[in-house]
Amino acid sequence: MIAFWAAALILLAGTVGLFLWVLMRSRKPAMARAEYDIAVFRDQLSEVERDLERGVLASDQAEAARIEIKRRMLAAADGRDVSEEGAVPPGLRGAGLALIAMIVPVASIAIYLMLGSPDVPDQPLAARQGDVQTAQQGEHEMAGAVAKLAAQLEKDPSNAEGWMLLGRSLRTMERWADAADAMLRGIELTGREPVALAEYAELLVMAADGVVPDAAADVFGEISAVAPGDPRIHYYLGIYRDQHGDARGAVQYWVDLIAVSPEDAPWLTSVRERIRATAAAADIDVASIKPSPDLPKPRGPSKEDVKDAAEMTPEERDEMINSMIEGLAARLEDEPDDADGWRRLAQAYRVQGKIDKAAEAMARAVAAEKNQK
Amino acid sequence: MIVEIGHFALILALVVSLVQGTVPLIGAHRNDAAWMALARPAAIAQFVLIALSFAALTHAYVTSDFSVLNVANNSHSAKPMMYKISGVWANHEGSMMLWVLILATFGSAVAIFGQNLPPSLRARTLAIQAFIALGFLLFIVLTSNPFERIMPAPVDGRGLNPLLQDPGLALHPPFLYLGYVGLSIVFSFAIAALIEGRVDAAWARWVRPWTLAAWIFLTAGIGLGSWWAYYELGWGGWWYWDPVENASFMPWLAGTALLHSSIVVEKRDTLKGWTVFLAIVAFSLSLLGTFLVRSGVLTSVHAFATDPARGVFILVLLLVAIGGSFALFAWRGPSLSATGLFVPVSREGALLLNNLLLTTASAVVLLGTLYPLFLDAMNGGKVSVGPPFFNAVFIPIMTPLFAALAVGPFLAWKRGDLPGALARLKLALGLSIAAALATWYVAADGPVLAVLGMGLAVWLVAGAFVEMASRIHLFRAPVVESLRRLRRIPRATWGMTIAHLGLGILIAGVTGSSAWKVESIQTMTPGQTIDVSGYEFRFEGASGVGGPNYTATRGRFVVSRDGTRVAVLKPEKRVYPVQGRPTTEAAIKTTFLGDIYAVIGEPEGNAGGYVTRLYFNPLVPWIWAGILIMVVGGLFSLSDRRLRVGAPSRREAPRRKDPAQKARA
Repeated sequence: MIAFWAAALILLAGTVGLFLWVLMRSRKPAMARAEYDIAVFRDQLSEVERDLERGVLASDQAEAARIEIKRRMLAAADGRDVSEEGAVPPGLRGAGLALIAMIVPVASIAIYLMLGSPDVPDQPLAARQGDVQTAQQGEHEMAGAVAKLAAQLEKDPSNAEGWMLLGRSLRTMERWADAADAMLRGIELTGREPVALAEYAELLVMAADGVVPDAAADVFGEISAVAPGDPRIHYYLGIYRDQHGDARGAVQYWVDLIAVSPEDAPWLTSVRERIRATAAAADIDVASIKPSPDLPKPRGPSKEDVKDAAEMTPEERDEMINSMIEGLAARLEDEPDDADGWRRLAQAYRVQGKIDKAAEAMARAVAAEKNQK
Repeated sequence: MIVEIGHFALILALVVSLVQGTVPLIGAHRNDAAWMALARPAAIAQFVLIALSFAALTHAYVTSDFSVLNVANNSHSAKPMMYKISGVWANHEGSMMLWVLILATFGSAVAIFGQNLPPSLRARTLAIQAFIALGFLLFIVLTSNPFERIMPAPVDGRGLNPLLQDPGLALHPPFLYLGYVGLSIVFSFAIAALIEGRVDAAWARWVRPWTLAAWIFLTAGIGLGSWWAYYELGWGGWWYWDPVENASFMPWLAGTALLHSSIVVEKRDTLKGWTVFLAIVAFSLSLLGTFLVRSGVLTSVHAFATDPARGVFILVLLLVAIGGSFALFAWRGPSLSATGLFVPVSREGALLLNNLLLTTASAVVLLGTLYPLFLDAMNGGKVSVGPPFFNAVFIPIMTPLFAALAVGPFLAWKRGDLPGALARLKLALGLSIAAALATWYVAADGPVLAVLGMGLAVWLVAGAFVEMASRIHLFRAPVVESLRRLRRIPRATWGMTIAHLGLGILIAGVTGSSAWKVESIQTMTPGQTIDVSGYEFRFEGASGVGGPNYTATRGRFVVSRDGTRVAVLKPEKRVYPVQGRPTTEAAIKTTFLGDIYAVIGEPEGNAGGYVTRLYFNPLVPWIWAGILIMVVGGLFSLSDRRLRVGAPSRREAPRRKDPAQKARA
């Protein structure tokens, strides 16, 4: 941080010093404006001579060119004696110097302090091998836990909850297709429960890169009879219709979705944008599409269910991470000399924002390192 | 620490640009030598600070410092070094950094090389340049700061759009920006001239080389971009009349007009107001292009409205710069007096015609680019203005332009001799009619416009040769005399002839590739053969290969003609796991008459079949050759540092001797 401010001050001092030096230096009076023009015309005249010599110009053309240039020269020379010397009045000059000496440092430091992070060091990747390893370790452990869970389920395939957990874990690892397979196993065991089915169909969409495949559309169709309040049904079935060239049908689904959604539903903005874009592309007047008459009445509990379902995934994930961290912490209490382990634990706490615990773990890591030596 | 020094240097540059904009302007108004003199060191200091800042950002990319948000969002540790560096300007923030870096480079170049400029003109020019820099530095610091940090730093970045991981990307934006921003210096000169209310001889002498330099970069930049689209997007096309392309094409058209009118100012001391006007137009179109590309307004007018900070900032900047400069022009423009007189049929007249047609063309492109946006913004629905519109309006404007282009160099300054000029072009006219008839005969079922295009292409190429031949009295003087004359031709004249020749070749390429492209899309199984325009493509299957940060499916085609093997093409379809996005890498075999072009798509069926797209793109290499020749012509002209004086002709009908001689550039 000290090095940074030293460098910044050198830049500042250099810039301000240069400006003040230029402004205070005395200068010899400038040439009159006309002299610059005359210099150019003189060059042009000698160029005409050179062209004449090289035979590029005929002598009568050269003469005509010369006359024209000389005429311009005479016109320019008229203004030669006009004195153009002037100066900024001394008061303004002093004020200007003071302003530059003040404003440049104050403004640049003030703006920098607003926007910059002077105390954050550079973090080139080469110097962060520890972090990289920890992160890889974290992924590795996650993958290990998932593999372990999968192995358990192979032995005990009737564990519906286990399959669901595996599906949601794979989902956080963005292994969409595998996640969908695991979810399906769980769903078959629990008797096609709608919330899980909706999750499963959404995974199919993600595995297909945002395209709604027939299989997903079938599932949404299936649950629309049982749990019509789930916003995903209308949303994805709309996309499905749009994929099949039925823009009007798609907009109808989304208009219905807006009609059954609460005022403050988080998905409203993106649904509205979809309606607008699709309607514009297909030249449909949105106002002409009214909500369907037989829409399910908005039911409080149903929407709560939906919300729970939507929030389920990150919670499950947190739970899983927490249990992993607790496992690591417990192991380290048994093997307190594992410095790398403590480091990993510190990193994990830091990611979770538990700075105190992270600091504590870091201290244990340092201590462990000392013990090893 | 390096990152933060870069950030501080950027902010300091912002403050310096404020000083550089105000102090010299007051100094020039009051005629104070010291205050005017501040412009030069300030311009150089600004350049050093921005270069330092850019270097710091590049350092963060090279060392994969993911604590810098911009690096984390746009780079990845597994990326090859070349794309780590070019990745600096492959994103919004970094490209704006490149913009201001080039702006400051041009400013400091004027500071260093501008010793022979009158001090007040130099001070005002640099002050205007500083105001442009101030606007863009504010934009960067307030809305697009590349030095934003994140804590904790992620372990790896999100990577760069795979489409952009290409050598073409490393070169295309810098050239394009050198062109765009190069026009800024001409703009600053024009505004300074308007403030002074006069156009000096030195002004006229300066504007042309700067315009020429910007034009060379812009031409090369557009050419590179088009080339990149041709081989990377895999549709066999090279120009789409896409708004982003139009954004660079409009300043090119205006810049080309400016280039020609500045010749008139330099040599004949007339068309001053018009040239100043064109300088403002050309840079305004550059700014507009930056706005279109950078504000997100093109993706959707509504996307622009949902995150308006950046768009609104550039829009305000645009209104101040363009509105202010046109207002200044309306106020001070009439005071720019002209001394040179000329009649419509003369070199000046021909250049003015060129100007009018080119500005009309850029107005048309502007209309075609903005109309859909306006309509969308007014909720008039989506319309797409594509190639049919541009072809319909562009060809009628370009045809007279190209027809007149070959005649112009034969006209003398002040008053020219049109029948005499046309008489000299009899040979070129004959060749061009012959080419048109030959085209009609060979491709009778092809589009009629192809006949026109080939005729015009030959007209320009033959015109360039006839012009050169008559300049050196070929066949009318002894060979020794002709050679002597050839050696004496000024480089600026060479530049003009070469550039016009390149344009002719470009037109031939454009005509050939749009009229006779052959395309074949199908599913092919290994061993299958498809005939495309006389070339037999045998598909030999596809296999997986790995790259540094991607995996690819590589197909293999053996192309033969009449039983002789011509080429082995290995197109790839790459998948970059970091972004999960595929790119196509077309395989291209270039021959004199056209490109053999193959693209491999998705696998289809169980028998190892793949969707393949095979093309024969006639004369496409001529497009790149034509652009390259135009750039070479520009460089020739730029290397000619002599002052060129247009020799006026005093006779009524310059028929007694050789009119072409007087018509030298």
